[in-house]
Amino acid sequence: MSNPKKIHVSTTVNGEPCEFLCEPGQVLSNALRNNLDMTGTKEGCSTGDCGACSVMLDGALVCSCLVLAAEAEGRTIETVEGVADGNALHPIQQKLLEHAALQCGICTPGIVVAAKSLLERHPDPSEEEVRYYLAGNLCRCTGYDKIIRAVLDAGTVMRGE
Amino acid sequence: MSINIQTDFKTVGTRPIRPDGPDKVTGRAKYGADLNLSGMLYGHIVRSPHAHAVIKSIDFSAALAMPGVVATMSAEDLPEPGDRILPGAEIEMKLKDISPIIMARGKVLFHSQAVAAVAATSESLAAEAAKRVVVEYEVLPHVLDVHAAMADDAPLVHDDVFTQGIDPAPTRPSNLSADFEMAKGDIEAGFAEADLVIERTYNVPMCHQGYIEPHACVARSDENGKIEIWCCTQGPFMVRNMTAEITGIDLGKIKVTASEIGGGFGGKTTVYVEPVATILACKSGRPVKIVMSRDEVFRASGPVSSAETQVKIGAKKDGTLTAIKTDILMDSGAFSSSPILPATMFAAACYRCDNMHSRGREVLTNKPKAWAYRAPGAPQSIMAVECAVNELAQGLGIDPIDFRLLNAVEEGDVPLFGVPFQSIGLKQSLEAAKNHPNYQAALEQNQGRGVAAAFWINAGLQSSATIHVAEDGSLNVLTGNPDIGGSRASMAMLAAEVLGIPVETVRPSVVDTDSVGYCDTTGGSRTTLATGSAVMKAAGMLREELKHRAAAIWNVDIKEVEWYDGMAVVHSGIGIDELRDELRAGTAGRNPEKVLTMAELAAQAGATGGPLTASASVHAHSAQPSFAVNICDVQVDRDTGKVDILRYTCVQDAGKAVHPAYVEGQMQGGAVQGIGWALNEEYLFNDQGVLENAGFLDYRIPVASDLPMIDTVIVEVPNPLHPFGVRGVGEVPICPPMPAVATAVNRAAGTQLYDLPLSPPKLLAAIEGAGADNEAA
Amino acid sequence: MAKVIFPSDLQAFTGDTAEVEVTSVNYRDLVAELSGRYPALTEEAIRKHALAIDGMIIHNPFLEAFNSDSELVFFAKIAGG
Repeated sequence: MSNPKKIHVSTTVNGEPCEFLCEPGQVLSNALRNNLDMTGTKEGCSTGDCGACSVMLDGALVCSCLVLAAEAEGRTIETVEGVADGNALHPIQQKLLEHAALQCGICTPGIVVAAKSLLERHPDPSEEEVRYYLAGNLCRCTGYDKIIRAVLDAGTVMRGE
Repeated sequence: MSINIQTDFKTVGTRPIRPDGPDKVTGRAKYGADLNLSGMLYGHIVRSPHAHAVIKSIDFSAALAMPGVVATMSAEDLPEPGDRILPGAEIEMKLKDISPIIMARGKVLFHSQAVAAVAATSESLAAEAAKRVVVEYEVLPHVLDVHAAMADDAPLVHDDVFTQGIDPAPTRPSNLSADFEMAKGDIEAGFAEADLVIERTYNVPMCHQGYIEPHACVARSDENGKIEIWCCTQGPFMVRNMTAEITGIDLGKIKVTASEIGGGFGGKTTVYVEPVATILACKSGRPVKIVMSRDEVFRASGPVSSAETQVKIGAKKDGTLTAIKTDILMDSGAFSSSPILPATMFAAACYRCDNMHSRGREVLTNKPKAWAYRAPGAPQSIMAVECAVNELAQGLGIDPIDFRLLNAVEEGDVPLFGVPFQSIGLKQSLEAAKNHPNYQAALEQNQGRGVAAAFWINAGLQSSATIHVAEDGSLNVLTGNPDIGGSRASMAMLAAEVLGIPVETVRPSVVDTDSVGYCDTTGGSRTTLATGSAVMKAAGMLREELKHRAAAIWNVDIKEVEWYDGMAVVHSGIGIDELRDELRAGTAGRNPEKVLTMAELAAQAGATGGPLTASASVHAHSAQPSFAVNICDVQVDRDTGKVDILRYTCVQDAGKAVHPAYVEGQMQGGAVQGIGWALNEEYLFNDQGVLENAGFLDYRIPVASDLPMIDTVIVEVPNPLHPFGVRGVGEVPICPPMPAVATAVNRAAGTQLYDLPLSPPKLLAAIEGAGADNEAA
Repeated sequence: MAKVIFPSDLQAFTGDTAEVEVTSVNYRDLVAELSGRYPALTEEAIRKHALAIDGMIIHNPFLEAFNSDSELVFFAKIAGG
């Protein structure tokens, strides 16, 4: 195999302009982690089954392991690194901590991104809605109970209740 | 033996935010695959396409001809294991059972076993180069089924394995690697005494621990032969020891830094990629990173032994158990590593019964080498006994919790494994379950309830801790146990409790193998107990030192000084009780003649003997068993065979819950792993020994929408050997779910299906079969 | 005299004896006493086991002492997951 030429990508990550070179077959999760050193986005499966690599792409929740890095050209990406406002945690991050809703923490960045996406679209979800929205984010440690409670509680905070 | 147990706490039992939490919710925390070094190469492992074959040759020339391919390796680069036993390991392990998992030597014994590896300048190049490694195999007949493996004419997985545990020792090698029995009383007399005997066979499938983070590491070597390894592991000291033994590199030259760990559940208590990266780093002189794919994790890292368990159990009409017999057959994969011992020893540990017999057999097959999973072995055999107990109670018309209360072990009882129980909380847990509102909830049509109780032994083992006091009186607590579920929080809380200081002033760290004394692996439910004991011991030493420093400042005898609420206090002629009353009432004021705070003592450390620091180590003998009781309610869809969990209740004796929220988390997480094992999870091999569901789409672990909230009740019967009463909590939660779920499903569906997982097609067939039986009857 | 209980794998070396009384009051002497009494029961076989002394399970009891009325149970070493 000869090394194919790399592709130049101009994109926006967490509101800031950003450029990188990627291999044609490289996926976005890999480029975020290894080209941009943004390792908050995790890889658990590389087949779109575990949700640890969840990011927002033009406002849509995606598994970044199923998106080619080159597809980021001209688009807007939001990752877990952009969720907190400086040193002020987002309510979903704060509530995950308060509810002890993480054990090993590897799924947590994906949960943060997915739950934020849910609460921005549906500010007052039912427990069942939270469970179905997060069904693509695998957690092997917690049994989900405390995660679901944290997301519902974060919704309360975000609604200003 | 017993000690005074503290019952009044300031920090223990509260729920502070874990100190490493912010790093984990913001993505800053660094896990195994998150480290990149300049000049780093990427390793890729070549794996066997056959379940059993002789490796005739390995040709790296085409791979090495590719620009950017820098180094290769195979078993040729590792020392011959011979009969060497791993030194220092708590459980006897033979190097020849471990080294071939890193690189197959001469033969491959399961599909996807590592055969060779390459290192190249990019991940994609390394993957491409791995495809160009030419391995010539001579395929051998393989055996996958445990019964087939025990046949006289079965292909031998190893020609030097002779069954352990039978007398006289066999003269021919076989795939039956162990066969042993434990007994007490007269089992046949016990059955003769019984009014009702249940006899049934239960199957628990091979599964995977299912941690979300694949194995990953970066290794580098330097000019002096010093090796540094960064990896996700439950035990950095274990990685150091195993890498040294497998590679032949001196242990003293290896430093291991444990990254944050994305789940382990026993699966990261061994090495897979670390020795490979180490050899490639030595050969290339460059850092080498290896990250397993999810496919590799499923195919080539620790699956969990399947078990076929026959149970025969009898009781009198009044519910008294008269005999319990278990016969367990475990698949260990290609090497002897199954948890057949604990499975056999602990199957019926919840019950007082005079006549017991348990047999355990371990069988080798051409499948991946089995490895530990949370309470290794116990879930499989407890599944069988608990389902049988439920059927027995039902047959006698006795409530299943009442039946267990009648037969439950308590202090002084001697289980089959011989060690008499001290103070334990099984009966208290059963009472709490019985009194839970979920146990009274009404059941509708197609709904069913299952109850199960369970035991786990819990480990102690060796740990070290170091505490440094900063100039402001705050603390750094250093240990060597990766934080897999909140243990930094418990370390900080235990230090804060001993010293009577705010937990926020304690900074716990998990440090590398050069920076703290030896610690056995995070596992065996031992970290809060054993490493926590080292922290408590160091904090206690520090407290004594602080009192001496205060005595020196006040120029009084040490006997005049007490430690109270994070401060040194001097009696000043009044009794200590009186002084405490004054301090509690605040009337003592802040008279420096009477009181010195941590901060004040720390500020004067230079004048009173130098920096304040303490190190302690323990070989903890204080581990004591845990018991748990689960109640599961399900609804079965008779048209599809799908099972919905309606309510789930976990009760567990935690001894003393240091951080109750993380204890609940262990209970909930273990319950859901058990639910997954009961309903969905299983390894599916084709007839060539190739795993057919090596991904999270087809190996389906529970997702959020599969489950209800998991209700928890923490029971606290103090561990009589721990100063705070703490017991291990991490493992027993996975022991009761399978029988609780299986019983609930069978009650709801009117079936007798005990061949897990109870997946929709299997359950549907059983429902239809039961319907046909009823019509025939 | 302290009471010793052998697990089934050690009973293979004790002629099926499951329980025995010993005069030893520490582990070092216990190993010598047992291997003297049962020649097939080697020190190596004994040391592969943990020892529970009055209900306290000790993985490496090398320096342990016990009482003349203690109950000693040899126990397979189990580390967990």
